Amino acid sequence: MRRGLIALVLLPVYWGLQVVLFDDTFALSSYFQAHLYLAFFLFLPLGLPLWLQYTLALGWSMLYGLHYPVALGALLIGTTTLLALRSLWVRLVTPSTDFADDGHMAFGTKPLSWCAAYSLPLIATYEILFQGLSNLSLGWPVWQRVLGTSAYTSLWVFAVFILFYRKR
Amino acid sequence: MQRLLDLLSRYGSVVYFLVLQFVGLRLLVDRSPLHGELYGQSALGLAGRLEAVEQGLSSHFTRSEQNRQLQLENQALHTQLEALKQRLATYQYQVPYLPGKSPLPDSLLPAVDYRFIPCRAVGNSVQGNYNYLILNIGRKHGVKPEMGVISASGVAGMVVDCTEDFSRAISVLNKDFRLSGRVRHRGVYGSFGWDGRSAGRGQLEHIPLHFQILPGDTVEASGYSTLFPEGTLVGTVVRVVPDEVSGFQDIEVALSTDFNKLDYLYLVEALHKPQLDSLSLRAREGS
Repeated sequence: MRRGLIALVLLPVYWGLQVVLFDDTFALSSYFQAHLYLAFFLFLPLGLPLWLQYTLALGWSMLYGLHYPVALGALLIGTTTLLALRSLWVRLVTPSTDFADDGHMAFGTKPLSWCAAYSLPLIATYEILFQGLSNLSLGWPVWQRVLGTSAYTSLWVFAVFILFYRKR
Repeated sequence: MQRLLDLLSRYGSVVYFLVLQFVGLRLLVDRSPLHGELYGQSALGLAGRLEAVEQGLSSHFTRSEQNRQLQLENQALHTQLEALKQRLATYQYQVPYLPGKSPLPDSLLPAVDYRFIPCRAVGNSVQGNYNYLILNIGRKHGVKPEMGVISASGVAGMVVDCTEDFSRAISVLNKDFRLSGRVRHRGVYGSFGWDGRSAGRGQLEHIPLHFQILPGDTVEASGYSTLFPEGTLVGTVVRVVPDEVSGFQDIEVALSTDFNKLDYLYLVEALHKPQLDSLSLRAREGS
């Protein structure tokens, strides 16, 4: 109950910070943005059929594309690749004490190792692919965005993990 | 049906992934002007390269017919060129001397002096000192001895013998070949031949020392003999060696014709040769 309340309060605070402060006031969105939708994909149950995961990625990309059509293609390629890599990664590391037998992620792992071994590499891979495709370049300005966005998104995903998914 | 379902269950997600990647790329190209432009340029470049390969392959099979067509076109162009040269010479030298300077009527204009017969070299020797060419046309095609042989690049040889269907010509790379040549723009004439030392070089002789001949000058047929039309290319001067003893210069000429690649050729028939030969004969008998 308490966790839910915290989430309800924190979410609008986050949106306010991102839009009013970081984007409008400091114009930091050139350097980093929080692609919070990645949290949705990273926290999808691992046992969910892959075709369903891909369909969710397609649906999300179409929704996002209504607002930002130029990024639609890169988003679809990035999210489907992220899910494919995630599925591959799970196959490589199981059986492992980090995951329950039914395929759902057991979130009793240490947060830092979860972040370092799972969320951060996947987020970074997604950002490299997405930013590289969108800008058709991997020069230093694009790398700045990749690094900034990966770090910022990871922080938020990590915060969500701490608040809602970590087993106590 | 069961097999299809098994296949789908094994590889369906991979196929779905690939389809979505393709859809994503398509959306990227369609919705982003930058990506669309890049795709257009790449597609154009790739299509151009594929077309070039396809053209190369198809032209390989039609090349001989194309070459035959080109040879016929060249024959017509050679004839036209000679006709124009004749007309130009006529207007340059004859019109000022006519009463009232009226132009000559067509009937008094000289006819074309040369006829060009297309042929191909079916035999060619380049190794010896007395090299020859075998041509795929003979007497029944109108070939006669002492017809000049030219290639697309210039002088090639002279017919010395013929049968009904074939002829033999001595090439420029033959010590017996001689030609009256001149150095273009210098107005000096000499005797051109081949000394047998270098396959790509001939010698222009009897050029007096006081004429300044430079490497790069063009050597062409003078037109004094009936073998080749005036101006037919022989080669380019590469070396000039003055001989103070004889009072002449030894001029080495790089041949314009590549005798290692002879194929399509033309025989030159001088239409007024019989008249010129009979005049020369009477002149010799008279002297």
